[in-house]
Amino acid sequence: MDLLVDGLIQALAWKPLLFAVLGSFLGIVFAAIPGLTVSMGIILLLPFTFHMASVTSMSLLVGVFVGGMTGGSISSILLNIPGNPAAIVTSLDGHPLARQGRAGVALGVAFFSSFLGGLFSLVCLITIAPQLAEFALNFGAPELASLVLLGLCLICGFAQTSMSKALISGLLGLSFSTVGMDPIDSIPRFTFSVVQIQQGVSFLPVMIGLFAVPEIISGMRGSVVSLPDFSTRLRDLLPSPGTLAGLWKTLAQSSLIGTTIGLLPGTGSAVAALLSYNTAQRRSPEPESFGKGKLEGVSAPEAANSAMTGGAMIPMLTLGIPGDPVTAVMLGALTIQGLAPGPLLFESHGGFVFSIFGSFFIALFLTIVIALLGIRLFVQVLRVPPGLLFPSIAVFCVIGAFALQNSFFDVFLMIGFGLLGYFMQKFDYPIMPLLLAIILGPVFEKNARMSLILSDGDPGIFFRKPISLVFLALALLYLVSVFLKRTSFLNRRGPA
Amino acid sequence: MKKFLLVFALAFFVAAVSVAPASAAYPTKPVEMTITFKPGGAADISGRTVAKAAEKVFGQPIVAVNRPGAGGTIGFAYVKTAPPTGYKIGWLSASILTGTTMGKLPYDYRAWDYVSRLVFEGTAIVVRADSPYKSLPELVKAAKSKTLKIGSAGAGSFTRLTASALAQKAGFKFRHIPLGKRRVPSLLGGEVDAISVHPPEVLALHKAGKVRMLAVSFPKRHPAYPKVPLFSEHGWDVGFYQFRGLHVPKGTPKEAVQALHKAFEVAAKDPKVLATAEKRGFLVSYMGPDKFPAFVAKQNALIKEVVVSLGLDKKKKMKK
Repeated sequence: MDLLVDGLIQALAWKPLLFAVLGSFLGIVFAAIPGLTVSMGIILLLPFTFHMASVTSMSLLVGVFVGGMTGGSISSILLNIPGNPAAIVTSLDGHPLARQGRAGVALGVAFFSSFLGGLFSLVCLITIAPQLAEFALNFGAPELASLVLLGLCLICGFAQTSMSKALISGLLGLSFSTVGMDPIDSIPRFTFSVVQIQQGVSFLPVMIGLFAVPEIISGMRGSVVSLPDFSTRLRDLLPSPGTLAGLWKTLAQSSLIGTTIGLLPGTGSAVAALLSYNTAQRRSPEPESFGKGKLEGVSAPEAANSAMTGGAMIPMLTLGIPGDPVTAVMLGALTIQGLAPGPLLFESHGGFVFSIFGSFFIALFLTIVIALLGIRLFVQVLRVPPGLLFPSIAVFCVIGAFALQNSFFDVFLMIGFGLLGYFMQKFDYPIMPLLLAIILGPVFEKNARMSLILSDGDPGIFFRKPISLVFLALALLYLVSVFLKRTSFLNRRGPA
Repeated sequence: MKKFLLVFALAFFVAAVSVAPASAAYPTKPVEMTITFKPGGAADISGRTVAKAAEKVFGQPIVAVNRPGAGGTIGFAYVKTAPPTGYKIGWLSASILTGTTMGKLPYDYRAWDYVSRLVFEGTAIVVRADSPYKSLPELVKAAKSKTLKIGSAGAGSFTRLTASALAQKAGFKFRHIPLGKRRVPSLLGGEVDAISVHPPEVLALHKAGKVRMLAVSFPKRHPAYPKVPLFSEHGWDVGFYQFRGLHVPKGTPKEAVQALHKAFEVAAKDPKVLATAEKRGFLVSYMGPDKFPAFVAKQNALIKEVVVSLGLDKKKKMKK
């Protein structure tokens, strides 16, 4: 406890505090501006941290990480353009809420869910980090493959009108995910001898294009439905204690899912958001109202993706294993300071570790304060004339796609997938399955094939491991339930 | 007042323009250095640190730009096609040799001009602390009687080639597991018997007694892990090491190459660079443009031998 207070005091010194404010603010801004992403923000800020003191640089990076997870919901809800992969799922219910004139409530719930999810993961990080890191080691290749397979099955849930259209979209995504260097044998696939295609279809430019370009095109054609205005008074934004209390189950299970997924290297925030959204939906007494503007549908993914931040920092700090791209960058920043994260970091630099916890805590508070204060500013976006708004989004998309890897190929990828997204929406194909398949496809392929190499080709490896078996059973159960629901739905409608 | 400012600004501009060509032919503007891996990684950190130190002598900013993707090939291809003016340079690694010999790049290593080598990085064979193998000879002995699972970053990765070359020298076969980013958790979780990995990734775990670095492929023992023996001490020197340095597009003027050489030679002695090397576990070892091209050619021959023996140079994978 003393250590914790010391850490908090270290993190509250004026310089770390200043950079925590800056980090949280920039995180929110990078995530909230369509086209720009948190990954891009971190990449741009990283070189500066090389010349900072360790506590200060971590304050900045943690601030961006936490701020970014919260900020992603803003453009998801207001514009239907997610600011980071973590917020893709948030748009499902967030944007319909905004269309019903309840954008303020949606944002308020999103911010509070993020805050509470983050807080939960921070508590886990402080109290049981070493144990959780050990637990995460039980997840080998077969377990991850089954987990991601479950995620892929959940894509069926995005079939609003037609199951076949959702499946076509998902399979299209899986096909795209095979392009590029194959993850096991390093053999170029479908590259047509073009060196740039070897990197494959990177999902960030694809995400930017798929969501933003259709909105830009419909915006420029004047076919955008303007959102009803809503009150921006702080009192109206804060979710009432009753609302939050009603969400506690969603919040608890989503925080748990988010922290757990965060522990697993290379699975990603999209899986966390997807799983918790689905869990909330299945547990809900009225699952069919999800996707039409349900607060649980905003709360679940936001709590989960925020909880992921603390989860991802656990293996990074205790074992030196980065859980996602942002913690990988943090690891780089720490080692250059001469602080090699690992089991000894807690013993040799315990004070420093607790200052990171302190910064995390402060970043959570700052983020929610900045987000709530900034809400008046964010909603001004809705009053910007489309003739100004959409061209600026287009510019940001080009910048955002380019800056991730300084690659023009990514810009063309963004535009190409944007056009695809526009036509898919026009013909009523959901784009969510396509994007999720592009994100999850490579993770599944890599881990499934690796499992088979480990077992020398014996598929039994997926069934012998208990954790893997549970995920497979859940996936099967889910598919059966979807099938039964749809047949009974068709039967009911059939004879009429 | 406004007019005065305008005149002042114009005068300044004219002065700047007229002075520039007279002072030196190269460099007259910032140089862009492509780093072919992601921000925060080993290549990025050594590259940026060295570039920062070289700027002082060089007289112009050396701007590091990350162009990651496909094991470095995206960035190497970028430098290959850049104009050979001396203003576009690249931070290369031995990956350029694996990339070209495996046919991921449509040219061979001679498609660039090589300026200088700055850094060596080790490759270690690592086991869990509870592993029965206490030394590299013990692991090799066991590997001769049963097939061990040894993981690396990927099928064509430098760490895999090092493990395979070791197996050839020591006379054993193993099942290679391309673990990608999960190489360390996979070792800790017990999926594989050992991994081949760059030491900084496991140094903290090694010091904490969670894993054991059995031996490292490196030109000499490193002060950060002085007790870990070298492959060569066991008589299994693979002969090639992960190196990093500077290359430029083919046909870059000699003056530019010499100016870069001078600046980076000084950078190799910079205390900040040496301190970072100590912390990050790499070794600073400078070699200029007189010897570096021959060094690259020799490394290429050694790496190509392993790549060919593994059948990785064929576009389609051969059956085992």
